[in-house]
Amino acid sequence: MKKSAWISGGVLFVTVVFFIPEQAGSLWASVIFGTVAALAYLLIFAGSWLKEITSRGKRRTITVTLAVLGLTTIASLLLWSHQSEWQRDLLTEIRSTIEKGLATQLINEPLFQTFRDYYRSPEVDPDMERLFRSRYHARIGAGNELEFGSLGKDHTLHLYLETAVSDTIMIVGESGYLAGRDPTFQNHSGKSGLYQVQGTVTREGVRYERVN
Amino acid sequence: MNVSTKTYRWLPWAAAGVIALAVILADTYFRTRWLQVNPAQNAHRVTTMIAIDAFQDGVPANDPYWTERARALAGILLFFVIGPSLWIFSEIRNHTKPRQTGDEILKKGADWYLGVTVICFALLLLIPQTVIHGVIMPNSRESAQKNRDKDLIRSDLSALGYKAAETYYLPQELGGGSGSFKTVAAGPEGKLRPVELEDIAGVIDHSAYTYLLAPITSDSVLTIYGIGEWTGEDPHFENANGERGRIQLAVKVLPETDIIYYDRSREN
Repeated sequence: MKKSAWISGGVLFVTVVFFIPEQAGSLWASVIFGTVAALAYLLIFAGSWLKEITSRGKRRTITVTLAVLGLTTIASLLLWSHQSEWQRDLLTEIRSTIEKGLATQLINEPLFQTFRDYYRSPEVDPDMERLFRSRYHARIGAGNELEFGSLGKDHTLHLYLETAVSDTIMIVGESGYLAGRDPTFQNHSGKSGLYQVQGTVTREGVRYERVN
Repeated sequence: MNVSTKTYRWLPWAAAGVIALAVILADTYFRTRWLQVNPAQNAHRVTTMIAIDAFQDGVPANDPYWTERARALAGILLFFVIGPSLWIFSEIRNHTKPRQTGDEILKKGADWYLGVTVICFALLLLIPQTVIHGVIMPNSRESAQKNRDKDLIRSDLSALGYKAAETYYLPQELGGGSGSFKTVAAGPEGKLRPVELEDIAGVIDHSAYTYLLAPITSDSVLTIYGIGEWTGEDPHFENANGERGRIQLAVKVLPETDIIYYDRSREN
């Protein structure tokens, strides 16, 4: 009866501690809490009952085996948690790189095409707005948002034709995924604090900069 | 006539170890995944799923992941509470019995076998995974770092390519080449010379890498190299800057046609 009480008590104690952290999202807090509670139970349990075994050899075997188990578990927790954190950060970095790369590519390319059309045109002082619209009119949607198929469905990057006049074209890019430098920055869409870049083409060239 | 019976005291341990191994192999072969109770592995799986959701949708999921939670808790309870408790209690009970010999050595009781099998299972599961993980992780990180460097170099090469194409078209009176890479007007005097890296380097974001232009032999084609710090696929590859084996990417700038494309033949 006493032995059942120990095992039942240990199970209950570890289970309660396991469920102390928030039970949503990451599992690491629960696993660490539960493992610490279980190791504490094991230490108390072994300390209370091992002395009932009079054979020194047997006690040593049990102690060494449980020590190996405990140390391996701690090493496993450290390695896996380290890798989890690294992998999560890596995926975040890859996503950021893709988002920034897409913004650069999708803004620079149409602006450069307009720049090239400007200097290839036989006219003396071509109209940049006309050149841009003649090539990209099909991509200009509601609210002057530029639509590119490469963005895919449910994309988080939004590009807007901000300025289109005879000597200047400006495209603004805003990311719904990346945070900007200034959380109070007012973005083009009306939201605030998001990553925003802009590209401008004039007859002097293309300038691309991050504004937030 | 005395018949002495040999006593193999390791036999019950071997039996428990074989049972544990058989269970692991059966679970692997039949892919039941019932025994994926390594707490750390389950926590890692959840973190990966959350990171993938954030990657795809931009927002991390906040689900409870009950299956993984149950598996992790089961692992903790089995490895540290139930297994050791059954083992120690059964050792205490067996210890009060007369010393066993011969065939009786295997008669340890079901609770002993259950406890020791759980311990053997835990050690057979955790030790190889931990060792392999310790070996594989540094290699994974190095590979990821190399890919990261390539991505950043690619990003800079793209910016350099567009800037070079711009310089190509820009009139000489504005410091460009008026349709040529060979006759760019440089400096306050506007002296004509081939385009140089300093004409376009203002767009480089990652100065830790080395960028250089190939010798200019054509009016309308320019090759730009980006060289990283890590070793590339071929350690004997001859880099454009005279070094050997480093990561290298190359972009060809053709302002009249494709604008820029990546030259894989000069990549390491």
